[in-house]
Amino acid sequence: MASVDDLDIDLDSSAPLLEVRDLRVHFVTDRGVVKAVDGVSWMVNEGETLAIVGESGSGKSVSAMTILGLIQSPPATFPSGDIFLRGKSLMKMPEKQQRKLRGREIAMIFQDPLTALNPVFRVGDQIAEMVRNHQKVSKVVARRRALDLLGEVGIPNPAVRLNQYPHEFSGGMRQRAMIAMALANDPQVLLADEPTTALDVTVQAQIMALLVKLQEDRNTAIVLITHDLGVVASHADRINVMYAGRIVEAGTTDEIFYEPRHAYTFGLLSSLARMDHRRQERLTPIKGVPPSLANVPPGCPFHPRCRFATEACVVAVPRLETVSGNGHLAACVHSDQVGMANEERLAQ
Amino acid sequence: MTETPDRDLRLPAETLMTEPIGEDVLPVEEDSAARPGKRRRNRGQLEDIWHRYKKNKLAMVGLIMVGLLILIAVLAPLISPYDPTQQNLLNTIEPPTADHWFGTDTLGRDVFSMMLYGLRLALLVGVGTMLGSLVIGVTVGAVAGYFGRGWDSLLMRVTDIFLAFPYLIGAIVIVRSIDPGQTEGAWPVAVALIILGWTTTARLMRGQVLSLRESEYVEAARSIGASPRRIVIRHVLPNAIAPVLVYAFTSIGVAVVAMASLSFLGVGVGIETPEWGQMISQGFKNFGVPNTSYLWIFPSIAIIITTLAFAFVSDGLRDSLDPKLR
Amino acid sequence: MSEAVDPVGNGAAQISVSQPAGTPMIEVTDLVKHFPIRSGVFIKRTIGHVKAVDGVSFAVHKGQTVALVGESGCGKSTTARAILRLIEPTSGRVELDGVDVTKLGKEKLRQARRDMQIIFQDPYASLNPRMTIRQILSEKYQLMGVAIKKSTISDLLDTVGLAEEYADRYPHEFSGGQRQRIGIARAIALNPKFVVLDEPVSALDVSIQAQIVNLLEDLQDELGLTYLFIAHDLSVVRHISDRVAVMYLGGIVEIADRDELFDRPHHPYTQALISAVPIPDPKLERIRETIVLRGDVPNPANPPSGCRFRTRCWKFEQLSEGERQRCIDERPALNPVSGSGHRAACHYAAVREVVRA
Repeated sequence: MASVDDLDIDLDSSAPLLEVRDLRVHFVTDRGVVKAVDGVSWMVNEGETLAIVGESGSGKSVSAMTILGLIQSPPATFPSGDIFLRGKSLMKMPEKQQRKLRGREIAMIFQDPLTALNPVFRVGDQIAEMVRNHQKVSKVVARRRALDLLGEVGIPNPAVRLNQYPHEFSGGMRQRAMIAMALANDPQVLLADEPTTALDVTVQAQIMALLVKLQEDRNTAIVLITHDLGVVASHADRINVMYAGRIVEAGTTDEIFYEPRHAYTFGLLSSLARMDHRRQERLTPIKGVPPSLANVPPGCPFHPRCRFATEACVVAVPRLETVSGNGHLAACVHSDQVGMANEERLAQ
Repeated sequence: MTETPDRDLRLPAETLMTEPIGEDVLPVEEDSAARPGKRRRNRGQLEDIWHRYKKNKLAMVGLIMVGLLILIAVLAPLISPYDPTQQNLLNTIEPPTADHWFGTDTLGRDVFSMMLYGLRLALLVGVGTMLGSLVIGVTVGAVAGYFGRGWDSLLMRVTDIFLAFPYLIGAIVIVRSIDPGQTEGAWPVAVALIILGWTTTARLMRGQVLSLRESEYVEAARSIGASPRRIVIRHVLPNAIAPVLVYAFTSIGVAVVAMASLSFLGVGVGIETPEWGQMISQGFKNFGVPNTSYLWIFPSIAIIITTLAFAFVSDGLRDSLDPKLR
Repeated sequence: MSEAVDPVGNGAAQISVSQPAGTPMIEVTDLVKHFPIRSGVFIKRTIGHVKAVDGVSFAVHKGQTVALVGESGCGKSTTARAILRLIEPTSGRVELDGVDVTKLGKEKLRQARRDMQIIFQDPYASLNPRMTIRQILSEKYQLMGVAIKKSTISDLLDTVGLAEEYADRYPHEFSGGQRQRIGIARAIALNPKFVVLDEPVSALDVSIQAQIVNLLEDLQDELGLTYLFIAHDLSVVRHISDRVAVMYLGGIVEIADRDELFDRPHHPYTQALISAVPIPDPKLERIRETIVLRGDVPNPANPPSGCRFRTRCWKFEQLSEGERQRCIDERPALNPVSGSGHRAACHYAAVREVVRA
């Protein structure tokens, strides 16, 4: 079992496991500055699942990719922000130490395993390679570890599968193989970027059940990045809702689903068709389209689509403020009205 | 619910998402149908391509170079100080002077004038070869790709046979058999280069058509009752042609080099025709003789410039022909 | 919404089942599509068949929506394309308003396309990037030999909620939801009788999906359209359809009216499928049971004997040795399990409630 100590990095065990503070990731393009992530802060602790929910263009994936150093600069710039693993700044760390931590303490699962697995190497070799990248073990030991991991993620006949290539795996099996690879070094944090979006629902259920089991066994922190509110409802402890590069609402899963206080969250929840509801006459959509990140509306980025919007929404970007209890935050001028509208909705 | 953003690790897809028309302009509200907004001028397809092309500096340099080359070729009779075929055996192999800017060759002809006429010939053969290969290659590729099965097997085997010919040796054989006495000028060379050159275009075209044939908008066209012919012409060709055109522009340079190589080897146009390969060959025959290197240096530079100019244009076209980039 | 005041859902559903009056708008009987698997370097030999669609029958009545659901590879999209003859069915009959589409010659089929249309899943792939919106929408009129009036295109765009002034732009200038509206406009031009919706919202952002679903429903009401809705997202299916058919490995395993199917599913696959769909309601999710199936969908070129679902079936595991043998030997027929046209293809079909409305 890899421990943090042999990395020669001082980690403060009382600090949050992973913390992102005021992160900004901008891209300079010929259409202007694309503010993919614009001042985002969150943290996650062991054994916890934090969901980051948003639509395409909300910046939800970019923050995760930044944590893993997958965003290259240029074209990206990082005007502000830092990432802390147990209180230790990742961004101020020398490149070499960063690489040590990534893949070992923080690992990522992608939406499309085909792009993350190398098609010309055997699956077993790729997992063993991952082990040997971070641990001084012999090839034999690394392969045995790969075999164990394939078994652990529920791949039948792991000894045979070890010697196969990614294309010989089905979609669900590939996703399992990628999870095995992510787990190769017992990471403390697992970033899962749309891990089941490309899969069928019955396979999605398998993969989510696997992640839950792994989390229970290893007390891993999971950051679940997705657009699927159903998956979030059944698996997240806390939720950050992102819109146009910013977090617009943050809270526990129950707070977000039953007491939304941002107009966007409220709009999303109201617009969903539900399998457990008999037919409603009409769905209640959010009007308009999500903004381009190169051209975010002034003030609250959601105001052009918002049914509660007033002139106050255009003046300044609303700050994330506590709206109830401890840690339920919303960046909405009209959070009270949203709250009341939501009570009406639930009463129906 | 499958939202499938591309995964590009360098620049995340969601940041590059095609910018939708601003919603201040385009109403998609639930209930209001048409809201008048500011009207953006609608650009045509060609204008769009030009707009994108302009952004590429190297491509613009290439375009200016090609423009100049064509201008020079057209105006050659006016610019040339001498008749390029006029021999002067009293004044051979004279290095550059004020009278003969690029010197004279082994037959006493003015090298500068020969260069200009050589450019004419090079462009004619280059562009002619390109057009010929394009017509044959696009037709064969489109038929093989769209109709598939028997057509595909047949045409692709034929293509393979032509592809199996070694390029230069094949060209020598063809030119020699059409024009054994080297009296026919440059057209046998062009024919040989077309015969050997269309195969790449055909393969490229076939690959494009094969993938486009399965595309949803082709299926959509079939679903509204479009005939195969219409689908090929309206829906497949305009989308398949971009990479083919890009290759075509590069192939002009290839043809220019190929013709020069043939002449250098003594195949193709006769010695009396001003042609770059011939000129380089002359220079090499005098290799080692002091003050004669200008004989091969000038035409060599001309070949390099011409090839580069078309390569730059081709490079610019590749980006600008993609309607998804703005 | 209570059943009593639900004129569209409940009342209409009864029409589709118990009212024999009038022929259905589209009736599919025993539709089969096998794709040959070819091998060989020079001469391609057929070495087997992928049975993508293997005997599918159902009907859609005028103004109704039938959903065809299932996971990737179950044959739902192939079924839709075979109905429209975008691919040639191997055998079977497809009657559109009483006319057998599979028997139509080239020209007759071309004309029939006016009445049967399709809206595609991917609004980025289904519009020719080199044609303007006006050209895309005009093409159908030209092909059908119908004159275009000055107002034709603007009216059409208006119907789908787009402004006319964008008619001369190219598809890449629009967002996904806007492109899907254009795709819808193309399909509904010239008032078709029957429209296939091939996952029309699954590629769209969550906040846009409801807009498109509402638009499709409005158009159905205004134009009296008949829909075949191909989907894997059961939430939208529950909202939009009158009747639902569940497919697995090329065949329908269960078909019923919408609420009947969700409330009283009989086939173990339908039950697993419904239970696997997460509901955006955390408290419900915490108490809800998910049936997790083993393994993946088998290769359709080499499906299991007998019941095709048995290799992943949770119920099969609970059966006795003798009971199992029947699943292995005998392919279950799509038999009635209760009144009102509810059928399931399972030897041991029984209700199991997996979602409570």
